Amino acid sequence: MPSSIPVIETKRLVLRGPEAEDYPDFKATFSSYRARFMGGPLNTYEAWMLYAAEIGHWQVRGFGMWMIHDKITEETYGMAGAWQPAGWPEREIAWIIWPDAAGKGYALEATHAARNYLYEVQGWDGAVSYIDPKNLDSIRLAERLGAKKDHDAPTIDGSDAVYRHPSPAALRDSQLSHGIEMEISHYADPLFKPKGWALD
Amino acid sequence: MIASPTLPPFAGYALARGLTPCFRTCGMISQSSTQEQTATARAAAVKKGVDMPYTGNRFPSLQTRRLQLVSPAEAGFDAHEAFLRIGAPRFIDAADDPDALWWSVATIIGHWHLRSYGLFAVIERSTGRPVGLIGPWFPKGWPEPELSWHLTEDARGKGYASEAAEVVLDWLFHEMKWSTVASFIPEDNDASIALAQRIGARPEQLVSFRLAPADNMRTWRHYPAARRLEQPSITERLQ
Repeated sequence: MPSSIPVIETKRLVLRGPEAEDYPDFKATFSSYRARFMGGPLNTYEAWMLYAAEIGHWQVRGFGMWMIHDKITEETYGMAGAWQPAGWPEREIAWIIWPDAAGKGYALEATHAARNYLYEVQGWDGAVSYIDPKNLDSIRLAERLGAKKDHDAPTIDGSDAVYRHPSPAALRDSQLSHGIEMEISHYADPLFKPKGWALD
Repeated sequence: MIASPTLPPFAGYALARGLTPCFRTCGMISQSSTQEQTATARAAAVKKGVDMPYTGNRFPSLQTRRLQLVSPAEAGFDAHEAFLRIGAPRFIDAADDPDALWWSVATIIGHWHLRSYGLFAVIERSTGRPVGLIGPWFPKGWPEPELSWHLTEDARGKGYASEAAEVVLDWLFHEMKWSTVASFIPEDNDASIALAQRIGARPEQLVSFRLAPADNMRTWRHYPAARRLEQPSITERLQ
């Protein structure tokens, strides 16, 4: 399946299917504190099984999570894409950035490109993100992508917040998507040094 | 036009269901006859951001008199149709958790990509129905690769399990050149112990490892055909 997973390119990044050689980076992050909002730090077995399930998800669902690579150096920065295992009420757009790649706008760039692909090429009519209410970084990212908290949507287990992404029509060629692209280009510009704490 | 002769026989039945137009129609339209055409088309598809499924066999496939064993990671295999849809054959001793099967199937497919081997889907050739999953299972954290089997209710009483297990063992020992393989079977699982005995496995010590799914498991070690134990009863062998 990795050979038939679509490849998406953005200005700085390449999104590819998860491969065996990217596993050590995945395991390092999911065994760390950074995964506390995504099922907690995982042991070796759990991390490996989750990675295998992320690969198999593509085969079973026809969509899934991409691995984010730098376009020039090929190093991995994280993952972004679609996620709907068993028990998920709706199709989710999810992201995780490795801790040492944080703060550079990679999550915004990758998730914006992935969402675009899912909307335009796969024909999705909308998406949600299930985010732990304590995960302020991810909530901020969801809001910068235009998602709004949906209080009436079904949650996975009652302890997560549902953020609903704008529909394809609301996103296509809109002020929102132009604003996101402008923000991404600022991150990509080496002369841009934002004051304050840049959230990825 | 039709599926190439190297695709498993059920491919037509699985592809008919189709998950996403993008994947299936791309594959059907671009069945190129030359490798060069395929490579060019694939490069163009990748450039456009649209995928193109690889239409050849990337994974091994085994065959017995009554069964076809295929990798569920194979591009043409519809795992949802075979195991996950409502009305799919139920597994013996299935977990209570309804989501467990979805995760198991997804993880089995990922295992194939990460290890280049894994559990085969066992298909009854006469009907095209899936009757179980069997093959080497070695996630990170397991003490050694294990021959693991999960059978559906349809597979009971037909000798499918031992037929599939023997062809997988032959493949492991002769083609994959493995020197040994074991199974970890709980002491109270009589059906699995009987199957292990039928395929000539020898019981060894009780095993306990940190992630063991049960706490009373014994190692049963498998051997190539020439060194297998005599089967306790020969009635199942008369087929």
